[in-house]
Amino acid sequence: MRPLQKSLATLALLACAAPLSCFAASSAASSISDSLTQSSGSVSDSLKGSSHSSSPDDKQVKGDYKVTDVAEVDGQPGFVELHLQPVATGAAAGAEVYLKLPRTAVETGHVAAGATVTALQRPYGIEFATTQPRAAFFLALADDVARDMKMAPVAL
Amino acid sequence: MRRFSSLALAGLLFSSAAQASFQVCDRPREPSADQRDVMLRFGAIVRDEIAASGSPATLIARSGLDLHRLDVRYSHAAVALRDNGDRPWSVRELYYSCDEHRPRVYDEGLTGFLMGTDDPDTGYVSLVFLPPERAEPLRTTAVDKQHALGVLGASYSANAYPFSTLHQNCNQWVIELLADAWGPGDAGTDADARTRAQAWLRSQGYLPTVFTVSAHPMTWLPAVVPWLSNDDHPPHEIAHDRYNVSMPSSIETFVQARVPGARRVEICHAGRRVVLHRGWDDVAEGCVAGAGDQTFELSAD
Repeated sequence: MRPLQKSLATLALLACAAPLSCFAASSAASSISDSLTQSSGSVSDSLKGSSHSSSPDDKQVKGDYKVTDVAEVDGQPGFVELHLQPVATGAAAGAEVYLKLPRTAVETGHVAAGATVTALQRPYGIEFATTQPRAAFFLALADDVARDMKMAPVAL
Repeated sequence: MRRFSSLALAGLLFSSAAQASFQVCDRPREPSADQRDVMLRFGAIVRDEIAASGSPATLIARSGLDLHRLDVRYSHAAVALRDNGDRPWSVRELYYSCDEHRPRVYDEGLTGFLMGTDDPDTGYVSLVFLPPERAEPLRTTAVDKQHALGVLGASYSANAYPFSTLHQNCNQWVIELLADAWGPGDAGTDADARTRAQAWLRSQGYLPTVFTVSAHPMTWLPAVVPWLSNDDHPPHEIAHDRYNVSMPSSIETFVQARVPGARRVEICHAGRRVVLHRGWDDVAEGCVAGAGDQTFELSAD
């Protein structure tokens, strides 16, 4: 087994930056963007405020939340929307939000109605994690960070 | 000159080569949300280090696949640029376009560049900061599409010979871009940009990385692996089982020798532990901090 592994690794060595090269085409940006959607998405695409149409204050999305509902998203098969109500009350409580994310992220994280999840402020945006056990299941990326994931060919 | 002895090219089986050829253009396995969290926070540390330098152009290399068994840490070099387009920091680089079967130059966000690793649990980034008199002309040349594309080859080969214009790999594009920026330009010659760049590199004593293989796999390997070539390498080198290839380490060695005032920073993470190491020597394998290194812990909370 070892000689085979070494051989493949040698090939990989010579093919500089092989994994991303497959996306280095005219469809590179969309391909990479698509690849992000299983465990991350932009804040503007993923988060809605209490009115269900407004954008929440990103910085106020923090702390523990109760998942009060898991709903299908009209016109977007493969996506679900979590209704998240802050567990804490008073001034320290986070804001009520709706989080749209791929169903696979919900399934991978074993997130269901009635569960408690945590929102953590990160340099790139917001990490959503389960609490028992603690594990991230979705990352809401600040829009500038989401843009920073993309690539485009240089042409005259 | 760095030498790798008895690499396993000779031991390649046809089936493994064919399998690898498909793997390179396959979609990479997506990291978990926890792994992506670490990679993004690691990327923020790298971005802060680049931003703190204030330099308009920085050489950047990252680890790709897990190559530690081969004593090779970095496989992909690029140029990090300030204020190129609508992003404060981005990377200009060469990739092989699987769809078009040719090399192309791309602009990519710094975050995306750093996410392009096959090992989400361990990552290494090497930054070479240049003095202003070298960084400014490099940025001017790199952002100029005529120049950036002027040293772009028409054919990709991962093991391209550095003193031939027949093929090119990603690291070769970077070193030719440096030559275009720092060399004599087109004065007094009608040679094309790549030929001029390579002539200047040779005159400056540029030494590529030498791979020594244990047999003659290249007589048949290009037939099954489309991004490997044999026809650009000198016959006497092949006869001695040697392949000269531009790698990030050869670029850095050249800059260290030829650019007084250049400095290097290496940043790595192993799981949630981050180490920042300053100097031309490498951080210890496994991303283990040495004397004088800074360490960070990316808390899960």
